[in-house]
Amino acid sequence: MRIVLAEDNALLREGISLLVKSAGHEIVGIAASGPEILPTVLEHRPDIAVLDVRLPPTFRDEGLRAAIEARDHLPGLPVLVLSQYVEQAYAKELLETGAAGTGYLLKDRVGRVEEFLDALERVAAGGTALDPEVVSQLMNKRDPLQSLTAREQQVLHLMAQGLDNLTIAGELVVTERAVTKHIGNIFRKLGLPASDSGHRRVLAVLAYVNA
Amino acid sequence: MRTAIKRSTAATAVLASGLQTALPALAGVIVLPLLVLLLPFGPAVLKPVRVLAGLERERAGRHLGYPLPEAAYAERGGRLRAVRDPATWRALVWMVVHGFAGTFLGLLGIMLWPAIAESATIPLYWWLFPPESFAGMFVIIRTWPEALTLAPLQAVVYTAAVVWLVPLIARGQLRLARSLLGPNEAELLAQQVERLTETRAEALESHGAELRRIERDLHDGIQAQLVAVSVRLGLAARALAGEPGSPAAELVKDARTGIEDTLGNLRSLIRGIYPPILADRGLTGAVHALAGGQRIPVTVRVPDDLPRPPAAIEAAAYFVIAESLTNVTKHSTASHAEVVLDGDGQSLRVTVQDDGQGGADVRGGSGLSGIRRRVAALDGTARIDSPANAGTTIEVLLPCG
Repeated sequence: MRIVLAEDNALLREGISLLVKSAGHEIVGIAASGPEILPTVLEHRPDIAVLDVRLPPTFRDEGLRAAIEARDHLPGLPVLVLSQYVEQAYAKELLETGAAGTGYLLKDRVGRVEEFLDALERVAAGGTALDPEVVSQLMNKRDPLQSLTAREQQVLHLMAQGLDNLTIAGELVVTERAVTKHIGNIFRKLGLPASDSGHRRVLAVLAYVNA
Repeated sequence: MRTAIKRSTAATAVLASGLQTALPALAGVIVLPLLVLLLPFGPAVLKPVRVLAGLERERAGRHLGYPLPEAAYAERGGRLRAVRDPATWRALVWMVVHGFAGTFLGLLGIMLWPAIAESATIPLYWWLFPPESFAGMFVIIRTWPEALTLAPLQAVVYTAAVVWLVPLIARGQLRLARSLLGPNEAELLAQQVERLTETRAEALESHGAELRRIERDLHDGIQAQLVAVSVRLGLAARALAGEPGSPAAELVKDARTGIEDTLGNLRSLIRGIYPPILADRGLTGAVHALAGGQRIPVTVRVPDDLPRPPAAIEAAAYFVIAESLTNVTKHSTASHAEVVLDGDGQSLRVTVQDDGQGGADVRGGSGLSGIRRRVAALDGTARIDSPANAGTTIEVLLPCG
């Protein structure tokens, strides 16, 4: 995959480069500040843009705003936003530009190399990756999800992060068939329209918890 | 002896320099009736009196060794303001007293020194004058015994006056200036409050800047470094993936888990110091985000022209709102809440209102006492109104400067 990376911290930039290279990907362009992002993305047309939220010059949310702007110019551009802290309001703003090919993760997750690479590839392929902490913040809003069993709530949580059934099964150490059954129950209990896997399913779940 | 001379010399200098202001004050006393008649036409009439008072304050301050603060004259307000202004009247009283007493005492202080010499030397030359014509100051000398007793006695009295009375009078004159031309106790207190308000505003500003700096340092420095280390550990774990269960693989895994925990702690620490969304979006944006994350609908009302309060006040306001909304969703069974921000640059008012069951334990609840504590630390006030079955209103007023 060809990646554009926006990150102002040299140490971290180097770490992420090492990481993606180890998985056979390539960093084709680097932006060290907010205003550099759009030209770099337009120049390289990468498979995915990995953007830090806080960048020079103002160290606020320029990465997020650049992601939204880049989506305006290149609709469907997969974007993975990394942040020092997650904020459900930011997740919503990002998802409003389209859930397909959208990722929003805590920077901490980069250390979980396999999971991070999975998320990277999933987003580049048009999927969704939401940080578990964002999902928790969002699900806290809809309480009680009492009609769901504890296991079903776990499944819902993982589903909202954008994981597919096979990965969810791996996380929970159950069979994929069991996961499919749980998901069927969840959709029935919450009255959600049955959706196939991928970002549409995430959207359906988020639309429910956000309602 | 030497100190006595020094003291007397200094005191005489005080009285002599007092003439500089006493003579103009005496002139002012002559036109005093006119000044008082013109007083209702505004404080400007008294401008010369104030200039003179300023000179006297400067003089007294020089001799006392510390500057005398200016009295708080009424500058603004209607015409009658000057009539009612106590500082103005005190300046006028000073002018009358100092005009007479200052002139007299100034001349006296200067004349006492030669008078001592003159008195002491009377026996040397009184007899040169025609009989009955010599008056050595207060004493008329007619005979030798008189000249040899009264004259030295007079010299002693004058010397005593120079040594004890003159310093006393000089001190009195300076005190008069201090008490009538400086601020009185209430004014001093008011000035002190003003100064404290100013320094508090500065402290708030620098405290806020510190908070933001700490937040950024933690995020961009320590957090980024920890993540970079954790990436390397992740890569190491990947390289060791071929030998699962090996001691090295286990250690790397433990180290990574440790860093993840640390990062989590660091994040909540930062959130407690200065919520990062405040830095990103300001108070208004942060409150909107907060409201959007609640289980019940929360309306946010903020005037467009709300002046941005100091960072420490923003952080406190954010904390109050977050805590209040947590209470609302936890305890109140409310179906709707409203957050209102309002401020004029002097203070920020935060109101959080819900339509729940009310009856909140105003004294007990840890959330509410936390709000009170945080607000009190910034000299703010918190009012919590929670009648049974009539919702809860929390109103917090935070001074911004």
